[in-house]
Order: sequence, then structure tokens, then C-alpha cells
Amino acid sequence: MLARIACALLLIASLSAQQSPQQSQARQLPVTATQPQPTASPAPVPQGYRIAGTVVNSLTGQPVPSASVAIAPIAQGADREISKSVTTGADGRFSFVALSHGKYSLMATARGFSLQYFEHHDPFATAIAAGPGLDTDHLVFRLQPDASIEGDITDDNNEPIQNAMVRLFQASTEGGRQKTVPMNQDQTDDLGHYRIGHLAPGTYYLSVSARPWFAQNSGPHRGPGNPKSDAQAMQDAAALDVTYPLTFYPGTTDSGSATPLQLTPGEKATADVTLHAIPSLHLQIHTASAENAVLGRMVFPRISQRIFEGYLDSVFNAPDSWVAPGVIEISGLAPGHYIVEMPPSTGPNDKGGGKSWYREIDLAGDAEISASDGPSFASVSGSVLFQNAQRVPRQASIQLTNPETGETFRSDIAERGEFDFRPDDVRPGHYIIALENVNGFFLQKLSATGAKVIGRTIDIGSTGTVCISGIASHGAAQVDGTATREDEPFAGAMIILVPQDPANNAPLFRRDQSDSDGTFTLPDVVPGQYTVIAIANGWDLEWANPAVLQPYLKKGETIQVPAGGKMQVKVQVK
Amino acid sequence: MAIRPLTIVCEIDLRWLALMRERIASRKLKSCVFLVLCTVGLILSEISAAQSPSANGETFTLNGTVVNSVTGEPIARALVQTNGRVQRSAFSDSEGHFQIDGLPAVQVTLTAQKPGYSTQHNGPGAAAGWIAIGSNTGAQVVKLVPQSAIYGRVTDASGQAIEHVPVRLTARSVRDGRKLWEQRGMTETDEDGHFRFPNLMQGTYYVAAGPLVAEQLLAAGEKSKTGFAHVYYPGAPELASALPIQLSGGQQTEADFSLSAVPVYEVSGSISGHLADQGVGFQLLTSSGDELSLPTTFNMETGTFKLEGLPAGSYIVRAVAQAEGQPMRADRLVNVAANIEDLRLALAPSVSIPIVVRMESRSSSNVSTSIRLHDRPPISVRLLPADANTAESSSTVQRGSSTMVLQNVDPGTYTAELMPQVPWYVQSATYGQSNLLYDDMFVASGQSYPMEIVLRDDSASLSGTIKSSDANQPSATVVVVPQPAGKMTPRVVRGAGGDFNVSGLAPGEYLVFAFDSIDGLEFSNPDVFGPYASQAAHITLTGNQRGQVSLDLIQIGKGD
Repeated sequence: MLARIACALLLIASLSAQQSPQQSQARQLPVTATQPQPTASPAPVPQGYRIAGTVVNSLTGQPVPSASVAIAPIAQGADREISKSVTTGADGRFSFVALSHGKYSLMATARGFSLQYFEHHDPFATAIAAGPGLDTDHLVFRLQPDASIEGDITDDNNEPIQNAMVRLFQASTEGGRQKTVPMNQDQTDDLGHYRIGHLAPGTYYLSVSARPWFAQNSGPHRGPGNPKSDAQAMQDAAALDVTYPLTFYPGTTDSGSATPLQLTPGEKATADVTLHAIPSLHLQIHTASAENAVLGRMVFPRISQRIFEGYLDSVFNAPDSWVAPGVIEISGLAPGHYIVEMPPSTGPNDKGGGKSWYREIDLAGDAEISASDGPSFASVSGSVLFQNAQRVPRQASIQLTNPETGETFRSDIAERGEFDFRPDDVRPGHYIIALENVNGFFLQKLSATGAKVIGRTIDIGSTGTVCISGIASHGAAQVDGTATREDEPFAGAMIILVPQDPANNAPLFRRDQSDSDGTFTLPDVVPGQYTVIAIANGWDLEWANPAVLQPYLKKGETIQVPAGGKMQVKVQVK
Repeated sequence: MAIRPLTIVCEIDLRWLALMRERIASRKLKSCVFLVLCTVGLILSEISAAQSPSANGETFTLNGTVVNSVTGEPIARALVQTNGRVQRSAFSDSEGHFQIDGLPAVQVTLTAQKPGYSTQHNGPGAAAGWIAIGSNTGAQVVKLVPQSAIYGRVTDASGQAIEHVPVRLTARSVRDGRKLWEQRGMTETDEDGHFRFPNLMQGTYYVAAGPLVAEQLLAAGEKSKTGFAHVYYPGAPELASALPIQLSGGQQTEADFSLSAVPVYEVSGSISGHLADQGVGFQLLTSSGDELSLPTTFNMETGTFKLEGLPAGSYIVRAVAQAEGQPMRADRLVNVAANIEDLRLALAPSVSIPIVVRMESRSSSNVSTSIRLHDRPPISVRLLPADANTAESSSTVQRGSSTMVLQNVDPGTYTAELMPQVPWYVQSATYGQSNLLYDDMFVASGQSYPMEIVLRDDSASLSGTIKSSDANQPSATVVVVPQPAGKMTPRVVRGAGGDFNVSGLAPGEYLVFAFDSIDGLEFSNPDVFGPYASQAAHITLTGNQRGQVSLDLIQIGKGD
């Protein structure tokens, strides 16, 4: 079952002002999960069915008292809302009675336990199928206690650094690839202390960015012309022209050398970091406009770093100022590899000269770069033909995702199927192409000029203009199935629908988790040949890596999915 | 030279002071003195540059110590900077000592900074204004004021931490002789129930926690039934019974809360008087005017609203909106003891209050009894709200007319502050049935009266001397309190060189006090003078009288 946490329930919580952007971003979930209705409606049972069991601490096995437990029926087409909620007693027991035949998602939360679905493996969970012959009365709902990380950030003099930005990254296989993604952040208080709670067990990394409180990166004004005192003033100013490099726990500036924090359920970890001030580097950027900055149409460059082998991280705490007409200086930079992006200027006098561009530079000392030095962004546009459609689906969009960096570019598809990613120009690279909000349409055919298309991926170079054409067909199908092991239904298995040429067809993958009766649903399947596999403990697998999948593919069920409609499959759990 | 415009600034400042009748003299006078210092500094530095003693390359050393203004202890790793013609910097060492070598003979100012410390009030961290660098420059002492913090933990009756509890910090200060509550911080408890308000200045603070709806999963349409109440530290239901926290410089004070679980209710209803598709904001205020944060929903299409999670008690439900640029507002006092459905709020535009000024001249030189056209009446009016969430309102004069008006006044209770220009005094002031010299002014929703003010010009004046046991004759502040005490703010003037003079007083009885300092004295409240009544001069002034009085200096300042 796909657990739609974002809209499935009404959780009354206090207004959480401190919720970080990472937290509040709803997970990118596939389109609405649809579940099959029971094949035959049984005669109403007077007492109905029961879903009951005990909530226990997964770490200690002890019952969790005062846990809030709820169920939400899974009904085709309908938004799932919580239908019943109960609170566990001292024995951790809960029960829902007089339920009708069907599938229910089961969820619980308690003090010290963030909201969790039954046997969840985000974004999936095991739904409880209630009906004749199904034992749903002896469930053990293992809640994982929340972990936390806290610590102190200090400077070279062992004094606390206030307002340091502490960010937490999680190593994740969501999406089928090993990735390190930002997940939460906190700012240090006046004692240099930070704390990030409500963490699931896992592998985390910590980065700290801050600006030295005494940093003055703009340089001194000239003195009254006494060379000796001027020299001393310059020397003093140099002592204040310092910065803290982005630092990873336990104290490295290279994300590749960062030490992971392995959090077990309920662990209270401590991670202190000391930042070392180093001389700041200055980067002068000559913009194309060669004009003075004018209020209201000022364009500032974006500076970012690649960390954790791909993730693009914006550089904070780098003050910028216009030092000459058309020249902007970024100060407070540490040595390292940077990506400088200049968004397109929208000023009336900047036509032509205001094109966006980017540079990758290795900064080892003060440097100057200019608009004419190297590659530009690619301008990407094109059209999608929706076959046999009256009109383009409302709010349809096309998306380019760089699987390495996670960077995503999105463009709306207009009435006649045309799209244009400008003015957000696309950085050259390898991207996966996917359609969104297209109501059962799928990309059947893809081609491009100015770039190379393989399967559903595109390699965009810095040649300038790329035009993509696609043909979208209707008739996405649904694959329903049952996972079994030794002829018994198997709950909680990872189900993967693997397309042919998996390396170049990432958007065709579908996944689910088998429910308590072993059944699963794979919606929105593009017609074609696939292999369905079921893996018992595969939740940490890099399933998008063909080499990892290879041993399982041989034992999977190969199916041919026709356009439209539904098909049934039985798959053995490995 | 630069002195000209700067002095003019000072003159304007002084004239303005006279206009405001020296009521907030001490603060403004300081900034004026500071300006003068700056000017002198600039001129001196010009002169020194012209003489160019550094032409011969002679340089000097500036040294000193950075200290904690409260404990006197040295502060290590503070950044010390010179400003002016030479910009140099140094860090203090572990003994707080700093040294800047190679300075030419010019004028500089000196600042120090360090996280956790504030600079002194007089000037931006200035130790002693302008310092002349030379062979006679002595060691400097730069004081930094340590910042304070309030921290604590919020737990339930069983001692377990409660997360996500809103915690508010309110500072109480005195400005212009009136008590002022200002919200200084808003935070939420973390997983362990902890909260912290750092970087605070010394002063008087109140901390409040709650309310909060208990976290639980609810079925669609189900209402939450339990939550935690809103309390002021240490557990008071009202601000009036709350315990203020007095923070001195550098103090770290713990303020823990224990919140009990209480039933919570829902208040829902509808809004009228707003435009279709118009957003309406909702505020939930306590009876003492503090804004609470609880989940609020408003349905623009139906005009219905819902406030959730209210513990039993009295609240003001306030709706605010804008209609064609004009503020709209509706207030309803509700007593919550169960769910309330169908509460109706009618938005009404804020009101405009015309001010009718009648001038009764008693002097032989001016026989007119009404103001001339296009002349600004010699008075300004300010409405000071009793509730911290209501805006102040000041009188304006419409262009091309002499009509004074108070625009966009929200419904509520106010004190009318009447500031006539010498020689005029307020003989009477009314709003509807209210006598504004003695009563609060209550402005009802959607209804207003003209404010009627009668001014007379046969005012009295009072001058005299201040006797002090201190031979150095420190500065004094004279407070002239009308009797019987009403809503009229006492007159406050600086006594310079042991003399004082105040004009524009209405004929009548007064108590006159001379204080060494009125910093933090809530002099708009007649009760604060009670302890000093025996040291006051009691005088009665008649029309046009020039009274004389001798005052004993009352020492109430801290002496620093």
C-alpha cells in the first residue's frame, strides 16, 4: 500500500513555526493509489470485522500506553480520511470493531514516537485487509522511538558560535539510488547549542555553516595618506576578512570525508563541531550588462557547491556587493569547487546581453570571471502531442530530473502541447524526462534536436538550444497481484515492476508494498513488457541500479501489460 | 564648515523639545549632546589633519581594557575598532587588554563588540566619545553590557515534557512615563519541553506559555477535546497576578511551567460586513490583550470561521480586514465554557473623530475667541490604547483647512493625550459624555462623537530652585502633577544648574517634585508619587500668575 501521509489524515498538532522547509515539503509521491474493491460484496456481518492488537516500542518490546491509533479505509477513488481513532491503555492495546470488509491503513503516534504507518517503509506501508478468514485481531504494531542529534558549535577559541546553521543530511535509497539528501536543520542558540529531534533510525551526516561574528569582508576605507598607518590598517582588515568553510561532522570541509552518524531507534546522539576561521577569498564576476545595478532589477549570482557526490548546496553567508559598473564581488568564500550561476537579467536595457550563464570554478585564491568565459545554460523547449485527446490535460507539466544531483526543472505544458523551460535555463547534464498530471497519459515516443535521447533520458550539452518532441498516449494500465511464499500470502514485501532497459527508463518503474493479505496494486503502468519481482527484505536495495536488480530479475514474473484495463499477477517472494 | 547644519539640527531638536514641552527631555537632550560632540570631533580632526602632526611620521599607541559593565571583569576576544580618520582594529587578550600601535595624531572613536554583550547606551559603544591620539592619550576602558537570558522547561502534571508549546516573552518598560508592554519574543518548546530567550537586555519581563491542543489522531469531523491552558509565569491565569522576572545584566534566569491538561472547546460562527472573496484575519486575545496562537480556519466563500482548542475562559475574538484601503474590525468578548456555534461578528470600519477646538483668549492682546482659518490649532492629540494590540492614533490637520481629525481609530479604550502649545492650556476636553481630563475615552464600533476641546491662554508659569545635599548639583527633573490627579499627564522639565522654569500651566493646584532621575518612573500614574508626597511642594496657581517655589531634590536614581 502507498501511504499518503500528506493528505490521508487530520493530525491536530500545534502550529509548528519551526518546521523546516525540508520537513514540510510533501514527498514526491506517484499519482493516487487505487485499490481494488473486494471482488464480491459479502453479506453484511452483524458484528463486522475487527482490527486489533498492541502498540509496542520496537526497541524494548514494551507496550506503549496513551498512543493515538487510527484507521483510514482505503476506498477506490475516494480520498482516505481517518474514520476511527482510539487511544491505547496501559497495556498498549487497541481495537477497532464493527468494520466492514476491506483494506484499512493503520497508523499510530505517541509521545516520543513520530506518526508511523503499520510496517512502513516510506512511502509505503502494509495495509490491513479485514474480511472473512483473515486474522486481523492480533497485530503487533512496532513503533520506532524517535532519535535525536544535538551538540555544540564552537570556534577556534572554544567559544560558542551563535546562529550557526546546522543541517542534517540523510543517506537514503528512496528512488532506488543511494543518495544523501537534506532533511532538517536548526540554528544554534546563544550557547552554540543545536538540537534536531524526531529522527527515524538511519544514517545521517551533519554540515555546519556560519559567518565569523567579527568577519568584515569588504575591506578598509583608505586612510589619510600616511603609508605606514595605511599598511597597518590593511593588515588589521586582513585579520577580519575571514570566513568559515562549510564544515562536516566531525570537522572536515570535504563531504566525502564526513563521518556518518548511525542512529538506532530512540538514540540520543551528540555531535559537536568546531569551525576554524580562514582567510576569505573574493570572486569578482563581470556581468554582461556592464551597467550599474539598478534597484528593482538587480540580478545576483547564485553560488553553490556540490556535496555528497552531487547534491547542489547553496552557499550561505557570502556577502556580495557591486564594486564597479556591472561587476559584483562575492566575498567570504573558502577555497573549493563552486558553481556560479547568473540568472537571466530581465532589465529593459539588457536584451541580448542579459543571457543567463554558469561557471564551474576551482577557487584557490581571489579570482575574476566574466560572462564570456565559457558555457551557457541550454534553452530547452518543445512540444508533446497528446494522441486522441480533445485537449491537453489541465495542469499537465513536463519535468527534467538529474538523477545524480536531484536537480529538477519543470515546465507547464500549454494548450497546444508546447512547453518552454525558459527563463529557468537548464544546466547541461543527464536528465530523466517525465510527464506529470497527465491523467493516464504516458510518453510513448521521445526525440530531440540539439541533445541526445535514450529511452526516457536526455543528455543536454552546452550547445545552446534544445527542442524536445514527445508523443503521449492514453491507456495506462493497473497491475494487481498477490505476493506469496510457500503458497501463503506474504505481507510487507517490496514489489517492483521493472521495465525493459531499466537503466534508461527510470520513469517506468512502479513499486508497492504487499498488504496483510499479500495483495498489492501498481497503478499507472505504461503498456509494455515488464518483470515483477517481490523481495522480502529489500527496502535498502538500490533497486534503480540494474546491477543490483540483476539477480532478482531471473526469478521474477515476466508480464506483457496491455494498454488500458487491469491485469492480475502472482509473484513468489524472494 | 560642517558645524552649521549640525547646529541647526540641534536647534530644531531643541525647538521640538519646547513644542513637546520638555516632556521627554532627558532622552532627546542626550542625543543632542551627542551630535554636538560629533561635530566638535569632526572639527578637531579637521584641524589636526590640517596641522598634520603625522607629516613627520610620528605615531602613537592606543591601549586599554574591555570590561563587563556589571562585574567589572575583563572580556577576552572582544573586537576593538577605531573609527574616524583611521580605521584600525585589535582583539582584546585574555586579560581584556588591547593595544593599537602606529596611530597618527588624529581624533578617533573607539567601539568594542563581542557576542553576548551589548554596547553602552551613550553612543554606539563609545568609551569616551572622541579620543585625541597623542603622547598624552591615557588607557581607555570600554564597557560592554552582558546580555541576559530566560530559559525553562514546560511539563505536564506528570512531569513529562510537552513539545510545541508556544511561549511568549513580554517586556514591561516605561516610556514617556507610561507603562508599555512589548512582545519581545515568541518561541516553541522542543522535544524535551525546553525553551530559551537569549540576548535580552536587563529589565522587567513576563513569560507566558500555552495554550496548546493535545496532539492526537482525529477522525474526520471529530473535535479535539483536550489541551493545555494558557498561563503566565509561574502559573497565573491573568497578567495581573503573574510574577514579573527582573533581569539584571548578564543574568540567566530559569522559568519552568507545569501545565495541566484541560478540556478545550471550539468557537465557530460567521462574519458579516466583509466583501466577497476577501480575506479576513483572526486574532484570539486574552482579557489582558495578549494574542494567542491557536488553529483558525476561515472559509472565504461562506464567511464562516472556526477557532479550535480554546480552554475555558474569557477571550476577545477579533476579526480584521481591509475594504478599499480602510481597516475593518470586529471584536467580540466571549466566555468559553462549552463549544460555541454561530458566533456572529460584524466588521465595521474604523472611525474618524473630528476635533473641535475652541480658543478662549483671556489676554488683552488677543480678543478673538475662535481660530483663524488655515491656522493650525495650537494643540496636538494622541490616543494611547489600553490594549497592546490596538494602534495608537495621532491627530492630523487636513490640507487647506484648520480641521483636526483622528483618522482610522479602532474601537477600544484609550487615554487621550492632549498637548497644547504655550501659552494655551486645556480648560476642558470631552468625548460624548466622557470628561477626558479625568476619564478614559471609549470608542465604540462604527460610532463616533466629535472631541471637543476648550483652550485658554491665561496660563500660569512656575520657576524656582532645586536644593540638593550634593554640592555638585547634579541634573534634576522637575515633575508638576495637577491636583486632583486625573488623566492629564504631569509636566516634566529638566532643571539645569539648580534652576527650573515651566510655563503653560492651567490655573489650579499642583504637587511639584524634583527628582535626580525619572528613568523608569511611571509618572503618568498618580500613585507612583505617593511615597514622595511629603517631599513635594504644594502650590496653587491662578491665571497668568508667575509662581515661585523652592524644591528639595529627591534621590531615587540608582546613582550610576
